[in-house]
Amino acid sequence: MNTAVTATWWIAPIASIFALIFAIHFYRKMMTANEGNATMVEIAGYVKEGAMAYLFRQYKVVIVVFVVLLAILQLLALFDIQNPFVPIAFLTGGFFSGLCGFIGMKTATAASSRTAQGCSESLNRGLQVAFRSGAVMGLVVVGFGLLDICLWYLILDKLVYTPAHMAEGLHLFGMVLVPEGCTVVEKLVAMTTTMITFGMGASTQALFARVGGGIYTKAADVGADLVGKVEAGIPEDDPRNPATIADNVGDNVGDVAGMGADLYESYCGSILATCALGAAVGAHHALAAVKAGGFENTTEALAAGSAEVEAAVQQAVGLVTAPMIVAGIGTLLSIIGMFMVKCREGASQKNLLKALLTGTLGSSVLIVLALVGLWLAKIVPGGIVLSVISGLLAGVLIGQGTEYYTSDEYNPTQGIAGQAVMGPATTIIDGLATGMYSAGIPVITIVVGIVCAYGFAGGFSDMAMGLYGIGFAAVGMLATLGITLATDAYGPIADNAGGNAEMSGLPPEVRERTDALDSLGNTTAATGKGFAIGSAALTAMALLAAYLEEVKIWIGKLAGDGRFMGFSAKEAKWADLMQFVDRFELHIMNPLLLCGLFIGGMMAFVFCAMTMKAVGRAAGAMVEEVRRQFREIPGIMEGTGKPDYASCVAISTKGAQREMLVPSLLAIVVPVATGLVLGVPGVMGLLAGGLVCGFVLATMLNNAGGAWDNAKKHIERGAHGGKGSAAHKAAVVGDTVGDPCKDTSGPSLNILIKLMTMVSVVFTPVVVKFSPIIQELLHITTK
Amino acid sequence: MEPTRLYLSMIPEALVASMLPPEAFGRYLAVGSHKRSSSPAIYFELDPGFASDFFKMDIVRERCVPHADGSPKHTLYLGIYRVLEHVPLEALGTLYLTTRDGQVLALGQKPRPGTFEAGYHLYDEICPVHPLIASKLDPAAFAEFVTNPASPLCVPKIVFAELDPAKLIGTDLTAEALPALHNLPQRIKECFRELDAAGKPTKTVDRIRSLTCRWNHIRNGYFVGAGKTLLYYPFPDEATLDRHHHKWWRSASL
Repeated sequence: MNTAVTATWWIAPIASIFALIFAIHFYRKMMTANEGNATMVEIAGYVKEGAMAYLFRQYKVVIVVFVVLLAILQLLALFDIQNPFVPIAFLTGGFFSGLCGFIGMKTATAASSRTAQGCSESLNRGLQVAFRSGAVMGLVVVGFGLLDICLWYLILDKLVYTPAHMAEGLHLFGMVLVPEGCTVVEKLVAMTTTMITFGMGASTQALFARVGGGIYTKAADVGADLVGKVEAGIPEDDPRNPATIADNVGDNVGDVAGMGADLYESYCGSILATCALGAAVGAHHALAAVKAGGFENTTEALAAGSAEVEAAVQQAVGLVTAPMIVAGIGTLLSIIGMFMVKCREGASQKNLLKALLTGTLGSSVLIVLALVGLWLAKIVPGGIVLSVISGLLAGVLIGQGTEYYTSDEYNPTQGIAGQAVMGPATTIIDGLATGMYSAGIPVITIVVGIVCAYGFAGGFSDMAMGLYGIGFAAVGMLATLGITLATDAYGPIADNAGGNAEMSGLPPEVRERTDALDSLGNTTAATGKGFAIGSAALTAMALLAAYLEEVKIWIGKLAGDGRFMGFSAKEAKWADLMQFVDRFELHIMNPLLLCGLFIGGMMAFVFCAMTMKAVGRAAGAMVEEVRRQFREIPGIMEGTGKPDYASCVAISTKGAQREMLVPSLLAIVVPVATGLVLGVPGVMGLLAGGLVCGFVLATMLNNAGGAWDNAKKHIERGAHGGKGSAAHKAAVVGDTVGDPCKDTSGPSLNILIKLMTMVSVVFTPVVVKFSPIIQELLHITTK
Repeated sequence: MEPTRLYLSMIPEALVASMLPPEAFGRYLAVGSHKRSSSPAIYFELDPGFASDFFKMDIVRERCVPHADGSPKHTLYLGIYRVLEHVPLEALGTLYLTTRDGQVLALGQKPRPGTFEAGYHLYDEICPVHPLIASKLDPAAFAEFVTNPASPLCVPKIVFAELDPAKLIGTDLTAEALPALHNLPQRIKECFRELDAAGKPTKTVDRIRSLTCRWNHIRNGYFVGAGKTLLYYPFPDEATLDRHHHKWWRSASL
């Protein structure tokens, strides 16, 4: 058995190509739709121009960062302290993530006027245009993500780890691509741990997209609101406001490009981490069979015709390919689900909601059925099905919990609105408290979800298998990302369509329909957000285990013919995770791990502080510009003078680019620096601290921001004196405080957690090789 | 060239001649052209044939002329004191409401309804005085009461809007609002209770209120009263405002 590519595995690459074909189909269909009158086209043109200008400037900064990181990784590879495939894997991850953002943005900006025009015909027509445009984003994310993974898998299997190369070894420019005498299980482990590093490229790109997009959108929003709404007294989306186009551009860069890059990274990360864990489990079982048969290695056992080893290797291949196969099935189900989202002309909002839920929840139910099929076909163990169900239920519960704490139909948000009667201070206090309370449901749900996913997969008797179950739960949650992302991305498209209809002065029924679409999007997005948050926590947990696997591999490599950190190459290969936990004293009493925990916790807070302050600075520049234009452009308020939209777009773009660099680089530098000084325990502590504090803080910030926003809307609907009342003024303060929480800092935290883990995984050889030397110098070795 | 028009402004009370048509005049009052002002405006367009000995109307022909560059004369103030008193009700034409960002809504005069809602009323007096008044009198009776010359506290004419108490305090008059030094809903409830307890026709809720222009609280509309004469300018309901006057309503609801 020399190939890691099975017949069922082909489902994954075929599904990814299908996803891209349907993305092109939906894009073309959207582009053929009527884009409306000249004013609508002109407004959409401004937004498109601004969005693209932003995206290209962001890519310029990201390219510089990527070039520097690429040079560092290449240098490390040349010195044999980095996997030679990492630099190129890092690049492809970043490239495809950026490409998804570009396509998503291009589609979303082209769709706004077409959705508005569609709404002028019927609600269903508007839904079709907006949803199919959102589907383009969903399908390119899963299509490119899965294609990248599959291409790497295929190239590594068919071109790099060929039987000949495995027997004789493969070298390039002095770098060892395949070691001589590489066994099948070693191949699986090497392939999956190589592939996981492309996640760092995706994570780096995602962090820049989320942080930059978040700063951009809030700077524009605050500028438009503070000067336009509060000082000049003009409503939102009024073409007289110079920042109104920047505000609309912000919705795209934050909610479309930022969210797309974020979920691309989560999607790939969950599959890659689970594949790596599957390889580790498979290798462990195969080596146990080799040991039991009294063989030296799997090659020898397979040559001798050991049925046990053969079965164990086949199981290992199954465990590695299963996450890709499930993702492929999920992609196909997403496409089917997308065609289920339709209803008759003249449908009510209730019918539309039903259609959307049929598409999203229906796909999740089908993925469970597909897993049952894979279990019956003996591709995945039965426990994995239950692990995935645990993950899916956790996602739904987190979504419902989010809905409870942020919707004004329930007590928590109504309570904030009630406190607004007292003034801004109590509004802030109650919002903070609500945000903190809201962390309860997701944390408990994730705890139960982790225990169930771990337990069902057999973790209490086989730790590695349990961790694989946790990773698979995340894969199951994100398998139907194609359709859940479509429902997420269609929200900002409908929002922009509303802005376009407003600025173009379209009839009231058109605005009513775009509002209805926007409101529908908010309802369905709650479940999507639950899946995104839950899967991020599970993926980060799986990546922690994958990090330890990477440590194991590099200790074996660095040992060579001798010993390194107390292990010979063979011992490292045969050791299980618990032996490494013991060797590195990965327990709470190890001060190095404890220090790492503190640093991880601190990172979440310092990162949030940096992004929030960045919003303040960027918004300040925007406020000044909008004030200048109102002051200097004659006739702007009378509607006879035209505002300079481009300069506001440029200011927001420049501010976002300048401000995103330091927080993003911090996420890359800190894990490496911590690892070099505190070693592997320090890194594990850092990642665990970052995960725990980051997850809770992100939940708190997202929900507090959402609750403040909806408390304001609750008052605007007439409660506590309605608009213009003292309570409304207090609620506006709460909403302004909550804006950077829910749109900049909170969403960026998920990526921070995963980027720190990915950086740790990629820089494992550097940490493993140099930390003992540095610790020796500093006299901080624990053993 | 635009003809010269006469406007009776309520904020501040003034008689103004202008070469601007009503919408442009409102926009000019609200946002100005160079001053960068930002204030709402309420004004009536007057009968073009309006004549008065009280105001120096002869300067209109002389001074309300285009500027040297040909642009129209925006405003020529003819009077700023006791103006409403000296404008006969018959001269009042369309009423215009302008938001602080210059969106203009025109309200036409309609015959007053035979009966108004019974129970509590809340009146936002706009001109010549500006208190917020709680009353059990309906708009017609209230106008007659306020302009009754037999009373020591009277004005010759009154312009006021009726506000909807339910939008400010809800429907439960017994529910206590949260204690605050300046809590308008609580103050309104106290005034309503006092109307019942003391048998008073009116009670002042706030001595100065009208300048805030709470358009989203209006019930029925605007009234101009003098004795038994009551002019009525109905205010459209929210659905009509959103459908047919969307820009104005969005700005007014800000």
